[in-house]
Formats: sequence, C-alpha cells, structure tokens
Amino acid sequence: MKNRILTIAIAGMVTLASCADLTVENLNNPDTERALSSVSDLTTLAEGLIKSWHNGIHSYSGMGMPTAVLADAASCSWGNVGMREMGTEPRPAFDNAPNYGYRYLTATPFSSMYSINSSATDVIKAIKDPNIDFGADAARVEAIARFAQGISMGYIALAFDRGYIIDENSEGEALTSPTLIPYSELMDHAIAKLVEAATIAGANSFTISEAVINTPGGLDNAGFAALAHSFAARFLANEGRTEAERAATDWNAVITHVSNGITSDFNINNDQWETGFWYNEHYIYLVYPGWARVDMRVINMMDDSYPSHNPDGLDFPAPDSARIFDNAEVDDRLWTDYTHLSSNNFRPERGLYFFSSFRYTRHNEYIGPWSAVMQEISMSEMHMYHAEALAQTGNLAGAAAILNDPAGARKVRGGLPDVAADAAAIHAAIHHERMVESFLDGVGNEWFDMRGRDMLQKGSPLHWPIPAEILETLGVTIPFYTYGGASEPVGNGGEGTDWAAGTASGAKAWR
Amino acid sequence: MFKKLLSLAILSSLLTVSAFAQSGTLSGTVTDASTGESLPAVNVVLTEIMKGASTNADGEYQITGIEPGTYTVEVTYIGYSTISQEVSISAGTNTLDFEMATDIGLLDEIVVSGVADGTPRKKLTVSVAKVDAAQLSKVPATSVASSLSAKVSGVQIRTTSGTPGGSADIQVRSDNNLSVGSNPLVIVDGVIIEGGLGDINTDDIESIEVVKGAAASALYGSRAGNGVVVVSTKRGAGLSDGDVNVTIRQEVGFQTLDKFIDLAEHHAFALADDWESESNFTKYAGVVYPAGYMGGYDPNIVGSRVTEDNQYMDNPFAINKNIQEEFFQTGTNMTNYFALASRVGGINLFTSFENNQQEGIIPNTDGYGRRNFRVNTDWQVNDWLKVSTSNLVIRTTSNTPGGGSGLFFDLVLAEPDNNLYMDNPVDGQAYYLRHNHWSNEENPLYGTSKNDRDTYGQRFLGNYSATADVTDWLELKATYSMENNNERYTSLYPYDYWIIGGSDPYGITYSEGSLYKYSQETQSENTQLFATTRFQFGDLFAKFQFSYLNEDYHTEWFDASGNDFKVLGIPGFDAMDPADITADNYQADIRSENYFGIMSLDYDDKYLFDAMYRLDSSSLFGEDNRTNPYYRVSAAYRITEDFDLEMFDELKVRVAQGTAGIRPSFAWQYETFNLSSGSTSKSQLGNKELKPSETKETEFAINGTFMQNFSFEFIYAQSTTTDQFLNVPLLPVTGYSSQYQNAGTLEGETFEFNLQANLIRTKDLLWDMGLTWSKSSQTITELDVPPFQSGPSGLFYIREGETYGAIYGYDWVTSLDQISSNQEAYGGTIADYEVNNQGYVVAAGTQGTVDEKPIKLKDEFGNNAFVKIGDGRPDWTAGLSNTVSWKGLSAYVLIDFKQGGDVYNRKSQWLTRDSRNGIMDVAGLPDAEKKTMTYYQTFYDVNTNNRYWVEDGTYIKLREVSLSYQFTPDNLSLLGDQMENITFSVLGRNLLTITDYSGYDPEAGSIRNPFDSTGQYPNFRNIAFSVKFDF
Repeated sequence: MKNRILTIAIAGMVTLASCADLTVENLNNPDTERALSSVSDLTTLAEGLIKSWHNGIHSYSGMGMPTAVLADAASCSWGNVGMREMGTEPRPAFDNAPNYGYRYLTATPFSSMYSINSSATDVIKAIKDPNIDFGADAARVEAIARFAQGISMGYIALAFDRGYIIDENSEGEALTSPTLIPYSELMDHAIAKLVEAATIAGANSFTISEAVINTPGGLDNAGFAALAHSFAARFLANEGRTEAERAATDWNAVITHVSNGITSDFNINNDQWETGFWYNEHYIYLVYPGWARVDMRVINMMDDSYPSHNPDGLDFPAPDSARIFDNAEVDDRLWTDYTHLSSNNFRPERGLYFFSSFRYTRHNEYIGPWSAVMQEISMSEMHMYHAEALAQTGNLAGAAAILNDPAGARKVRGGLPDVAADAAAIHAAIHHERMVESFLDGVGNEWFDMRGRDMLQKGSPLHWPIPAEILETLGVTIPFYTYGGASEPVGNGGEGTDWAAGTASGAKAWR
Repeated sequence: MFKKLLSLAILSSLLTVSAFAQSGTLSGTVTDASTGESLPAVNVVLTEIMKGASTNADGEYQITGIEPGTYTVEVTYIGYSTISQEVSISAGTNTLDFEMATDIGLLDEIVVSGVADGTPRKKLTVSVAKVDAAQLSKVPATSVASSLSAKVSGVQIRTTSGTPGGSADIQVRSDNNLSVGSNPLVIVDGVIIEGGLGDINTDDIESIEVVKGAAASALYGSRAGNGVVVVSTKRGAGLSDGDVNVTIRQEVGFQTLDKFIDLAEHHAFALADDWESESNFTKYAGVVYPAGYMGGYDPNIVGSRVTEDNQYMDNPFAINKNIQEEFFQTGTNMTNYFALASRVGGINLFTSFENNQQEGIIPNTDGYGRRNFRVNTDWQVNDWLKVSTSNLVIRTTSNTPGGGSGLFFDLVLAEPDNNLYMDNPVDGQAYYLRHNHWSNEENPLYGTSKNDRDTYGQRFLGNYSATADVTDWLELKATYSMENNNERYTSLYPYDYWIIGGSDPYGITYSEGSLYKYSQETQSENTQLFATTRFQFGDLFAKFQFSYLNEDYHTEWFDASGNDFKVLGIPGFDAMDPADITADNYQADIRSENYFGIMSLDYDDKYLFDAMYRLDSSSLFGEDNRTNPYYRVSAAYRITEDFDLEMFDELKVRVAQGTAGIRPSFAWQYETFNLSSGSTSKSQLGNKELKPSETKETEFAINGTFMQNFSFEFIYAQSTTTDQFLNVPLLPVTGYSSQYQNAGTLEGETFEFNLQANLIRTKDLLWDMGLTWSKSSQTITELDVPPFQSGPSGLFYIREGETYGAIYGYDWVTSLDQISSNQEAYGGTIADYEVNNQGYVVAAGTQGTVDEKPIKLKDEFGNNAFVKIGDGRPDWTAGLSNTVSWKGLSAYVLIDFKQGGDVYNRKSQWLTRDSRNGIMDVAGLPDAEKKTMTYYQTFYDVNTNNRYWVEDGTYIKLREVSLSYQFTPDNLSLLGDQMENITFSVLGRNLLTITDYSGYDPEAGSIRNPFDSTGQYPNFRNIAFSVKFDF
C-alpha cells in the first residue's frame, strides 16, 4: 500500500515538475508587432490620432492655462500649473529646471505631440509598405495621418523655440540623435504636411466619421481638406514671435488657406469622462467657479468703465453690476458670455492685480455635466485671420468690410459700431475679437496674438525652451537655458538659443 | 523530526530492548528552576516510542503502559530550555521530576523558515528572527501587519494611514529597490500572500518568523530580495490526546485622535470698524454683507477682503472654533474571538472565529469590519503519512470616508469662524458645500454624509500538505496552496450631490450623480514538492533537501463608471444613459517555476555549514533572460562547545553570503500601446532582456547567552543590489516614452542588536526586558541614467553617490557668508543683507515689514540651488519592551523609537498658502518678533520642495501598553474545574507619541518616502478593555 501510494505520488511529482509554460501574453495593451501589422489595428491607430492631439493640446498639464495668464486673457493667483508664476508682475523667467514642480507644462505637450507624430509616421510607413493593403481606405487613412503630422508639428512650432523633424523619411542618425532646428523650419514642415493632407482629401472621396473627429456629423473629404487649410492658416498667422515677425508672415498664403478653409465653425463635442473621452481640461480650469477669472484687461476692452488693471487698494472690486450700462461702445458680449462676480477669493497678499470681477460663462453648460459642443476653430477666428492678412497686405477697406460684416459676430453678438478703414483701428478690432469672441477657443491663441503685437508684459516668454527632461535625455548638462524674466539669467544660454529673442521686450506692452 | 531520527539512530546502535511481561509508569512534577513554581501544559515525551503526556495545572504528569527499558525523555515548553535525558523505566512506578530553566534567547526554539528543515535557533547559520504568540498576545495587534512593530531588530513597520483595516508598510533591513516596493515576501501557513496582511487577525498566530536579508532569504529566490515574513497559526499540535482547549476573548475600545495640528487663530485681513457687531462670521473691511448673512459663500457679498498694511496675523476672528475638535469623532472598536483546539487520536484541530469592528475617527463613516473563520488540522494517518490542512476564510467590509482623502485637507484649511454645520442655502441639505466664502475648499463633512464608499472583500487562504516518511532517511512532502481574493468597491454619489459649477448664482450645481464599481479577483495557486534526506556519519549529521515550486497567479479586474442618473434613487447603471457609462478591465497571468537544493551539515553540534542553490524561471522575466540563479553559503561555530567561557553559557559566531532578487512588474517586458476607448497610442518600449534585480548580501553575526539571564545578538550585514529596474526616458522620436532597463546599483549596510533579559525571576515577581536596535544605510553607487526625482512630488532624488532617501529641493540663505561668496547671484552688496531673528537672511532693514522675505540659495549660475535638504532614512530605530508580573497582575509596555529620519511636511506647507498655519499666528508676540503673512508665504513658495518644510521625524511612541490580571484556577474554583483562567486587560495602542514633529504624527507616508501629504487619515490612539477566558 505504502509503496503503491508513494509510486503514484512520485510519478505525479515528476510530471508536475516539468510542465509550466512561462510565455504569457499581455492582454491589456497591444504590442508593436500587433498594433503595426494588421490593417485593422493600423486604421484604429490612425483614427485615434486626432483625439490624441485634441486631448494632448487641451490637457491640464499642457500650455493652455499658463499661456492664457501670460497673455493677460485670464487671471489666476492659484499656483496650479504655473498660473501664479506666469501671471506674476513683473514676469519671472520660466523655470526650466529638471526639478521644477510644473515642468510637465512643457514636457507633456512636447512628448505628446511627438508621440502623435510618431504614430502618424508609422501609419504612413505602413501605407507605403506593399505588404499591407489598406484597399480603398488608403487615402482616408493617409489623409488622417498627414493631418496628424501637420497639427502635431504645428503646435511644436508654435510653442517651442526648436524641435526636430521626424517623418517617414527619417532614418539612421536622424532617429538616434536628431538635430534641433528652429521653429520656422519646423512650421514649414508642418504646413507641408497639412497641405499634403488637404491634397489627398481633395482628390479622394471619403468620410471622416464623427467617432474619429468628434465634430457633429463628421466631415466629408472636402470638409477635411478645408479643416487642414484652416489649421494651416492658424499656424501661419500665429507663428511670429514679435510684431515684426508677424508682419513678415506670408499673409497671402494665409488668405489662400482661409479661402480654402472651413465654411462653418469647427466644433468638438467635448465629452470628458463619457464615451468618447474628448476633453478640454484647460478650458474647464480657466472658467471653473473658484479657479481662473477673466483678466480685467479683457473686460476693460469691452467696457472701459472697468479698470484694465486692478489698482491696489481697498476699493476693489468696487465696480459692480450696477455700473454696467448699455451704450454703443460697450460690447454686448459682456452680458452674454461673462458673469459679474461681486467679490474675490484670491489671496490678496499675492497681489491685488490678480483680482477680477468676471468669470467666462459662455459655455456654462460644460461645467458640471462635462459635455458640450464647443468651438475649436470658429469662423470668426478665420475671418479675423483674413482681415488681418488684408490689413497686413494693405487692403484696409477689405479688412474693415470683414469686421463690419453685419452677419459677423462682432456686429451680431457684440453690437459694436463700425470700424474705420484705419490700420490701428482695424488691428485693435481684430485683437478685440480674438480676445472676446474667440476667448479660449483652441489653445494658446491669446498668447500668440499678444506676442505678435509685442503686447505681452515685459519678461513674458515668447516661446518655451526645450523641456529640461528632453535636454537631460539629449545629454545636455545644467544649467538649462530658458526664456522670460526681467533680465537674462546668469546661467542662461544653450547652444542655438537666444534669450532676448524668446523674451518679451515690453516695447509695446499693454501696461 | 530531527531529534526523533537522531534518537532512533542512537537507539538502534546502542540499545537492545528486551521485552518484559509487566509495563511501567513514569510520573513526576515539572517546575520552574528559578521560581519553583509548577508549570502546566509541559510536554513530557519518551521519544523512542513517541509516548507522552502534558502536565496538569499543578505541573504533574503521568505516562503509563511503558515497556521497561531505557528511553530518552524530552521535556519541552515554550520559553524554557528543552530537557533531554536518559531514563530507565522499570516495571511499576517510576518517578522523575524536572526543573526547567528559562530558555533565555529561546535557543531551543525551532525555526522552520529559510532553512532546510526545522532547526533550533542555536544552530542557525543565517538571520531568522522569531516572534511567538506570547509576545503577540500581550496587546493583540489589530492585524498581523502591525504586530511586528518594534519587536524585531532590522524590521521597520510604518502604519502609513490610520484608515481602519489599512495595512502597514514593512521593510526588512535596508531598502534595496529603486522602482519596486520594499515590502517583504509574506507566507502565511505555507501560502505565499498576494493580498495584504491587514485582514489577518493576530489571536490565531503561533509565531512569526522574519527571514532577514538576502543571505537568509536566498532560499526563496527571486521574490525574496526584501526578506520574508513567515506567519504560522495555531494547530492544536501540542495538546495531549483527548484535550480540548477553548479560548474566548472579547474586546471593546475607543479610538481618539490625541493631537491636533496647530492652526492659526488670527488673520491679517482688515476688519470692518463694526466687526464686533457680528458673532457668526467675521466682518471684513470693504465688504458689504447681505441682510441675514450667517456664513458661507454668498453671491450677494460685495467686495473682497484685503490684508492690513502690516500683514500681521494678529486680528481676531469673530468666533474661534476648534474645527478639528468639531470634526473628529471618538470611534469604537470591538473584537469577539472564539477558538477551539483539540487532539483526538492522531488528529489535532484548531478552529477559530474572529469578528472585528473598527469604526475610526471620521464622522458619518462606518469604518472597517472583518469576520475570519479558520480551521487547521493535522492527521497522522499512520506511522509514515501525515496530512495537514490550513484554511482561512475572511470576509471584510470597509466604509471609507465619503468625498475621499481631500477632506483632511479641507478640514485644516477651514477658518475658525466657518460653520461646518450650516445647511445649504439653496435646498437645505446639511453641511453647506461652500462653507467659506473666501476659499475654494469644500466642507469636509459634506462628502462624508453624501458619498458612500464601500469595499466588500472575500478571501480564502488554503494550504494542504502530505508528508511521507518513505524510509528512515527520506521524507517526501507535497503541498498545494491557494489564495483567492475577491474585492468589490462601490462609490455612489446621489443625483443631488452638490458640486461647484453650473450657472446658479451660488456657483454650485447638482452633480446629477455618479456610480463607480470595481471588481477584482485574484487567484494564486502554488504547488511545492520537497524531498528531504538526513544522514548521520559519526559526528556529522547531514540534511539535504530538494524542492520544486510551481507558481500560478491570475488577476483580473474590471470597473465601470457612469454619470448622471436619469432615474433617481436607483444606484445602478440601468438608471443612466448608456452613453454616460464607461468600462475598463485588466488581466494578468504570472507563472513561475523554481528549483532549489539545500545542504545542511552539523558536525558535533558545533560546526554548522549550510549551502544552497536555486534556479528561478518566471514569465515576469524577459524572454531572453527567463532563468536566474541564486545561492547561499553560510557557516557557524558554537564557541562554547569547545571553550568554557566563564560568563557565556552559549556563544556562536556565524557568517553567511547569499543572493535573492525581486521580479520585474508584469507589463515592463512588453512593448505597449496605450489603449483607451478603442484607440491606441504608443507608450512603452519593451525589454525582452529584463531580469530580476539581484541583492547579494554578506552578514556576520555573533550571538549568545550570558549570566543565565541574558541573551544577545549582534549582526552586521552588507548588501549590494544590482540590475535595478529603471524606467529610462527615451527621446520622443519613436513615440515610445520610456523603457524599463536593468541598470544601477544600490548598496546597503545594516547593524542590528538584540538583547533579552530576565531581570527578575522569583515566584511572585517577574521582570522581562527586550531591546531591539538597528541602523541601516543605503547608497546609490551606480546609476546609468541622468539623476531623477522620485516619490511624491519628486522629493526624493536618485543620483549616483547619494543616499537612497535623500530629499532634494531649494534651500534658504541662512548666513551672510553664503551671500558674500556668491554676491553676483544675489545682487547688491553684503551690506544690503542681514540675518533675521529666525536665522534667515533677509534684505537689511526689512524685519517685521512686508518686504521681509527669506532668500533662496543660489548656485554658481545664479539659478535657485537644487540641494539636499533632508534625508528620510532614520539614524536608527529601536524597540524596548518590558513585562513586569506580580502574581496574577501583569504590566507590559512596548516603546518604539525612531531617531532621525526627516519627514517632508507638505500639509504644513499647504496650510501656509491659506494662512492657516499656526506658526503664522503672531497674536500676543512683541512687535519686534512679528512676521508678516507674506514672510511665511515666501516659504510656501507655491509648494516647491524646500528645506523649510523638512522636519525631524524622531519619535518615541508608546506603541503597546497593557495591564492585565489573570484569575488562575485557585481563584476560579467557584466557576468549576473547567475554567483554566480568566484574564482582564486594559490595552493601549499608540497611546502616546513624543515628538517635535508638528503634524498629526511623524509616522507619515511610507518608509521609503516619509511625506506627510494633505490626504492622510491621521493615526489615532486606541484604549480597549479585554476579557479572555481559557477553558
């Protein structure tokens, strides 16, 4: 009995001791081999690119909030995401140290845009691969991928002083030790990708479904081509870091892109925490009760009975709702898009200049349910690029005509008087529309406009340095260069950087 | 087993047993050698025939039916040195009394972990500490997790949160890992635990063995780089045939917070001239309040409060409440414990039930409850086969504070005139969300009352083994163990839960509700086979063991969340629009195979040698590095076996070296794309060459007993951990953000000292003392990536040559020399600066004004200097226990010491943001000592990490205290002869903390990252009353 039991037991043990299969598949995330081999997975990858771009650019940890306060469009004395620092007067330098608490403000957009660019490039390589057949869908997928390359690199060119080009033609050293090139060259590259996307879309019939682009009803190929042109117009118009650079923009190209661009607002169905997960976090925190407020500079533009800047003292915010009165000079949108708040809960000891009496409430329906259709690129924004291009190219009458269009937002919603065909008045009116009508549309538009007019407060960064963690990975040693601040930091100066060229001189600062 | 075989061998070679017609009886009394007191429940066994008896309450035993002859009698009792002597039994009555000496240092106690086979402590060649039931039962810890606090040298336990039912952070010796946790491998009754220890009750525990350091834990291979904790529960194995023991213990107690954070009771805002006309809220200058205003956010308030020009926080609030006192409640805790142990024939059984409830100190929150059912059995089927089972079923419920951990932040930021109990002005709900017009922080009570957060857990631990004595020299054992862990979590916000937002003038809106559900099941199954052989060659005794272990782990979770109830009052997803519901899931399988062989040599009881080799293969290792080896060699020499050292009764030196490792995390080897809502994006570059980190440790130790009443142990251990897991950032070129690689080396060093002393041992008075002390250091000696910040807020800086635990951040200038040596960076001349009365350099002439601001230290480039501002690693830790008994009365105190080790007090820093920090309150100070609000807020510095908030985490804690009285059978005659004793106790847990730390408790954050976050549930004091009945 004993021997029999033991024999069976030992036989069982020996069998057991040699049977484990140690190869385990990760069933939670696809790996490269899977994600980049099947047409279905590659199509899914391509179809997710626009959402990744949208969420990357609108992220809480991106540039939306600090640039809104840098532009004195929003005001916030809370320390979150660098808003207190970027809103402080006089402006400090951007802290480009590897240990800066909000280092992600630049690191996240930089990495996320390159991640999108990389995936778009993978898709394009697959399309070029004779072994992978996308069939009739090839044009649509390529158009999306080209578009993603364009909009991701366009934002790098808008926000950073430099970047590197990675696309389907990159190989060898370009991948292992890429060369940093100036934003202007990067912008050319981005525009070329957008034009390529528009060309493919213009030549092929397809539909970009609502699930892919999340604009109500989706887009057909023509609509998609128009959108690519509109982004190209936005990028080109906003590239200039100074008034002189902005004036030197190829405004005729802007007119061409606007003319080929969208014909109605390009809206996104923001549905944070719901099915699609398209979120506009920077917007939420710039308008959320108790968070950022509208900078009094913008309120003053609408109604100059309000101060543009809070004078220190006990009497702020004395101007209350009783002082609001309607006259032809007051922008009616102050009543429809903004809400007066009779007291502030910002910490007074941080500076009363942070105080503001208004909150932006145009999309109050988004705050709470976290679901709302909001403009990403409005027709007003496009009209203003057009008007600005005409003004920059000497057609003041044409620019005035756009501003005075009775069907335009300036007249319909703002109830504002006509603008004369005068360059200064036209530029002021365009700037007004950007700050009021397009407030917080897209990301960074207020900052781009202010820098292009030399209106930013002295010491404001005009663009971001390459993020510290990227510099670390590139093997650069501290001190890392940066931009901004009243004077050039002792340790500033990385190769190929120019502190002064990246920092607002304050020559025409609004204050 | 060893003794049995040894005896058999001796017997067979020396004796010839003759048969006699009549049998004999052996009887006698067992007493304590020093006190003369009779000892009950002592086992007296004739080893050759495995026949024995236990002593009764009077210390008497009797063994009948013995064939006359010579036998080895072995007398064993926990805490006393085993007596083993020859006895000649003749027909009829034989009498033999025994006097047992205290086993100081418990040298005879058998250790089963980290060794080939059960080994007496005096013959160990590696470090295995053992804590037995006697030490654990004085103040039964609320769970196994915290039961080791201050009891074992080299083991740090930190209760990282007061959350009832929460687990504790455990670290053995130095911290060896950069990217993975430092918790040791935990084995409970042979089950490798995947879930936490917080649910396992302590009343059942027979002993806990701690296998310290890689040399000792090498036997456990690639999971044991952080050491091993082996928990064994009671089994009824020591009972005599027919014995039934019943234990009933009831405990009820109270939980209170014994310390509040020092908060400001004054402010710096300008008061209205008529501020004293209001008693419900503070009336500020320049602010117009609506009629009938009673507090909280009101859209009709016009104006903003501003600071007074002098910015001194010395203005009173209209009402000065202690919000913390108003908020925290006295919670109750309760334990009902029942255990039954019995032995019938070849079967011994232990079964128990524990009901444990811990309410905690947060209002509107039920806290934690568990019900544990245990059945352990051993069945000696016949003379060669034994079958054992261990089974534990755990059911837990946990109701955690609604609204989440943010309430602890909101609580301390509330101002003293805020009314937490004010109703919502819009719909009358209790606890108005916006209780402070001047702040965004929400009413901490609101979430606790409206948001339900419930976790329901069900867990099963089972171990089944069969042991066969195949021959005299070969034993085979097979075990199968399993753990099944089910956890379900629900968080429900009702439709009418207020949140900030919407268009209501009060800035609040109904959230419309949300529901989150999470469900996880984890199943692990391990099968292990052992073959153990034992040989005696003259004076050499050799043991060999070979083993195979197969591990199979599967976990799976899914969650779903939905927003916006369409049908009110139904807490289900069906009451929502499907478009508002999302789901997620995860699954992972881990499979491993491990083989080891161990040899143990014992020459003449004095030269001891141990060697082992292990091969681990795991699916967690990259496919190109799937198998990794581990080894150990160790030796010991018992000096007192050769030399008669006058003072030392026992003296042993030993040395050991071995390797153990830590496995990579599941996902690290795989190249991954993030998957979210059906779309993909690149994430991590895989690494097929990833292998476990390897800790190699060398230790030297000396231990012994002296003057018959003292035992000591001194250990030095040095460890080097190579192949650390580093998440190496990649240039965002290929789209992959990072890759886990094996790189980097950590070196650790630990000194440990233990001392046990029987200071007094008389018939009526006993005084035992135990001391544990240890000191560890750990240094990053090699790092193959740029230095990086890790831990909460990136406070802990990982760089080559630096202590692991170093806190980095900005510093403040504290001497004029710092200015003058780098004048260009600071500007001006040295005459522009002076040191203020707090020791900080400020601009000359600014003291007491709003321009007085500390100055950040600059580096040579003029940037803010990023420097070491603290070190979280303690200088040393120690535990001191004292037990004094006089007759039935017993007092026990366990004191836990931690010397040094900085804590970063982020909470204090946050408090400064809102001028709530008590240090800012300058009311009553002479004007010359007053500082402005801005002065302190400069230290706040938007929460950058800086030295001002680094505090010394030294503490002395009264960790466990008990005062007990035991009624013995003499006292209990009225209750009949079944009752053995009744013990009444008053128990104290975390009774008192002596520290300079300003937060609730310096025991904050984890051992690795001592960081006092804003959301930590404070640790609290517990005083309880317990009565225990033994039948």
